[in-house]
Amino acid sequence: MLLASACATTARDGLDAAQLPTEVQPDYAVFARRCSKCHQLARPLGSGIHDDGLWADYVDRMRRQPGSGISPADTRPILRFLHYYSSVSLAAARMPDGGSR
Amino acid sequence: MRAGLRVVLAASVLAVALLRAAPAAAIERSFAGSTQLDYLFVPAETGGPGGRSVYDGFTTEAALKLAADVSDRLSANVKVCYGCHGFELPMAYFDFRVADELVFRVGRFSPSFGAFNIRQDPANHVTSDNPLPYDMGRMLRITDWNLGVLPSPFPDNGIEIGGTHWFGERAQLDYAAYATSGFKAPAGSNDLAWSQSQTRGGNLIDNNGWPAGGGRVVATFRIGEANDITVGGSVMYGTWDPSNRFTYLIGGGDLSARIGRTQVRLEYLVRRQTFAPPPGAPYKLVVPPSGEESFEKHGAYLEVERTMTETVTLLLRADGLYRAGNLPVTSPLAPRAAVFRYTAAGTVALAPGFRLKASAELWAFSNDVPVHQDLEAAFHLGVVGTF
Repeated sequence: MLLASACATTARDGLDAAQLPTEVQPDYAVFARRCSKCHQLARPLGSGIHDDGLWADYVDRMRRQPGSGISPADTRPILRFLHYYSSVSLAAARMPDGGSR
Repeated sequence: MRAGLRVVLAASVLAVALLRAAPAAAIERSFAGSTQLDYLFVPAETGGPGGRSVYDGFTTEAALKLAADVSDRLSANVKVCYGCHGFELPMAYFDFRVADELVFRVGRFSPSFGAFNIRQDPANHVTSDNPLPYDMGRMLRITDWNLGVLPSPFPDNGIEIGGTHWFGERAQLDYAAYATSGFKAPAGSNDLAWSQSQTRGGNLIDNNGWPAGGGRVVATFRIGEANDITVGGSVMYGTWDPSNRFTYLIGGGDLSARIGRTQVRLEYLVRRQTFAPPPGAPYKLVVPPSGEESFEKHGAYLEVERTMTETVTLLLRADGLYRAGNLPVTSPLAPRAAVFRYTAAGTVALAPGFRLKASAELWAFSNDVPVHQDLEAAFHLGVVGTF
């Protein structure tokens, strides 16, 4: 039943990496690996944060969680991806049709 | 309910204070929340010898969290939950960070114990319920067992010192040591009264003036880019009665591994607790001349979680509890009792941040193990959303 439902939906917890610009894909890979250990990727992606400063605090808080597996060096590609994601989603939200086209 | 309203009011005041404490540009704040609606169907809940004892039907767990970075070194977290026992305040604390390796946490929080605690929010795990060692009310025969070894979450008032350090890019070491009010029960009890640690207990103050203490150490090793392994150990010790005479000691070990899209988690907990049966009260075993008794409650789970696609996650879990020790003759448990559960579960993303959860559970209860065994089935269907 679960698999049947899955086939009937295009909803994702994360993003389709193949649809991302080539230069963003390695950063997304780090984000997807590190940020899915304790929660679904939909949590950060759906947080509504668009500010780089907020993202830096957010990722730093997560990095300091015990056993996070997020090293200080990981934060750079993660923040680069989140900056890209915020910019794209904010631009889409500002389009008259909400970026649906 | 009045206590719950007080918590919400206090949390609201604190949240407003955080929001107004400084100009908008000076404080970074983020809101997060989750809600899970679950339906638990137990086709033949016989209740065993103790009668019907399950919270089946619809249950809702909702949480709203505010995190505020007051400065580079100071942050605050407030979280309000609504669940089976009304409103609860599982988080209201400040973190003061001297360095990554030295952080002081003060206020109300769940002290660092075990690996599950960090994933306790129902939006952060595949099943609708906790593993049995951490059961907080979704197990069958709940009153017979008085929940798990350490029902999660377990917020308490106190202070924790902790930190994290990376050794290169391959190894992370975390530690935490804390002092909190500790778990509680009235004089004459033979187990902890978990409700006294919750808001519904009517207050959030200690019952004996002596803090409980504990600590945790965790090591994480990265093996390649997509794999890591985490090993942890935790301990907690305190007195639970008003006269500080009787103790509980909880120990735990955990091991988790991530191999690509698969996560394997293994955790074991044991609680050893002393108590004194009230004079003249009939117990199942002969009470020693000292009048002091003890019991041990063990719990463990092993689960394998696999992200099949970006939409579907599946999980298989085996978990159980084992209790050994004296009991009142009125208890439906024998001096040695066990329960095992086998779970198959999955989630499907219906929309980003909104998932369907389903699980099937087979329960096996044993008294005077392994002589007799009762089997029961249970099914969860729920939805969970996050923002």
